[in-house]
Amino acid sequence: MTADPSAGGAVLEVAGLSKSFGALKANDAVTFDLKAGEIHALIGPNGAGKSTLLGQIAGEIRQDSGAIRFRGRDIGALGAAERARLGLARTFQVSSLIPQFTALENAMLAVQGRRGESMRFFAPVRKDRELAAAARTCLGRVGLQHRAAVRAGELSHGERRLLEIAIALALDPAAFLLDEPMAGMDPEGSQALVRLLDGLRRTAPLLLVEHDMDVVFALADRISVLVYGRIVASGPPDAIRADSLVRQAYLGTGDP
Amino acid sequence: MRESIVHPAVALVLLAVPLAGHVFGEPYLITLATRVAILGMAGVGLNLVLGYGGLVSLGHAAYFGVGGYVAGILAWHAFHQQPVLLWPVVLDGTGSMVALWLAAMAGGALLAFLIGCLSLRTSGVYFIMITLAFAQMLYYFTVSWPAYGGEDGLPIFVRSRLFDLPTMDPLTFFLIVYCALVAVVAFTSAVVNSRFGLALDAARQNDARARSVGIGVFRIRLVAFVMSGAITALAGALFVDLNRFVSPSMLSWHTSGEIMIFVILGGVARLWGPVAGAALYVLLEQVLGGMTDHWQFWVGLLLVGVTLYARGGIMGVLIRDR
Repeated sequence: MTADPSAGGAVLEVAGLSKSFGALKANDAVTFDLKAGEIHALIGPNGAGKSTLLGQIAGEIRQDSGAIRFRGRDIGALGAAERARLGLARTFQVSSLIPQFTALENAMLAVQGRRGESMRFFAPVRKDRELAAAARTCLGRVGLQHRAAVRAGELSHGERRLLEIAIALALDPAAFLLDEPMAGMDPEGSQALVRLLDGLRRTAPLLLVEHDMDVVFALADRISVLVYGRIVASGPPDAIRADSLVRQAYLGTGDP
Repeated sequence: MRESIVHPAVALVLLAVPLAGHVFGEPYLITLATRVAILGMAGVGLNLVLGYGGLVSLGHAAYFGVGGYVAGILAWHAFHQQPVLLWPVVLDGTGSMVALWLAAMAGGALLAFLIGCLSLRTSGVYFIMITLAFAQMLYYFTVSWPAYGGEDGLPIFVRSRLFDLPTMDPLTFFLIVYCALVAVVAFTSAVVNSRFGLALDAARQNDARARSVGIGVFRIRLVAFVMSGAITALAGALFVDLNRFVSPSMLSWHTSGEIMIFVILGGVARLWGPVAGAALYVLLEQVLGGMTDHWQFWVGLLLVGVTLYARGGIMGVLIRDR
């Protein structure tokens, strides 16, 4: 459902993307793509510019130069909301939910937002069974259906991470942008989440920013390494593991 | 008490007081209740953006005053049988209440659109200051506008007409205002419980999240701002009809502050909250104002107490179901 044939299998293409904050080059001519059905992991040391890159793709930060194509169309000038309505679904590194809304309402908001129905003024939204059913399906896919009526602000950390993903699913995504989905998860939660992420690629391809290398090497079809705003290596996990430049720059001193 | 009881209770008390005033021959109570209904309506307008949208506008006197001046000027021209405009079209004044309401709401909506387009690009204290600045600009404009009385204001002499109702009768006029208030609250209730209301509330709580799920936050806020301006302008038109007088003080920042006090005293993001707040304010004005010239000091003290100890205002104290 997601691959755009005209783009030759690439759902998302980033070409020559640059962003500077004063003298600091957060991103320097970054080029990569995300193909249908894959998990493409983006790794790199702290401050490498991963979150900035994700923010640019999601439309929260305007790039200085370069192009972003999504489903065959140039989205570089669109705002974050417009990109979301095209099916670009991002999650946040620190869970960013609507705290006074229930889990279900958080997902409902995403369903209505994706459909562009926010200018409907009179029908009571909380009595809308169809909208609630669509949202409930998304909660079910991450195993949160029993927490549907709990306010997001009262969910546990792990549940909030899952709700982030349910919201992304509610956007009927053509691509996921996941910013450290594993952050702060306990070991059991992590295992379940890895299985969940693994299955998500059947819905839409994932651009995955993640610090947990075990997770990255377990899930990714391709890995790109970002250091000081530049992609220094890109390829299948085995090639990345073997790349001496990567080991030196990022994976550190020891053997992989 | 439950919210579903408190809201109708406030509405019924507001209806009962002037009826009692009529029965017991105290027309003064009817005028007070009319004031409460009108000022409360101005607060309901502000509450839509302040309470539900989290947008602290300190310039709602602008919409109150523009509604008042639009209605006042049209009524004044009708009374003096002079056209308002000769060019590019001949525009006559009108003494029809419905026409005055529609014109006032259109004026308020247009002004809110213009001010919103500029001010909604800012947030926090900048938003407060910009909304205040626009209102003050209009205030000084009316003060120095000699055609319609300038600083002295403009007396209108007659109350406008609605069908064949005796609008000069205090109780009749109250009932007209009351119906308008109920309609405005019902409209607000529908809007805040709709998909639009969900998006507005979401943007208040976490605008980055709202954008990331496809909510056009600026557009949503602008539409809410326009609705809010139209409602407050309608209240302004009714206020002018009540007093048969319009003056720049409607546009002064005191008025903006008072409208905000109604919302905060009554309880933000509560449908009938601003009406309860306006009732308490008018009551204090009458009771304390009779005792001391410095009654606003005590209102200030009350406001400090509410913001420190009872954030939900009157409605927050009465409602205990969430």
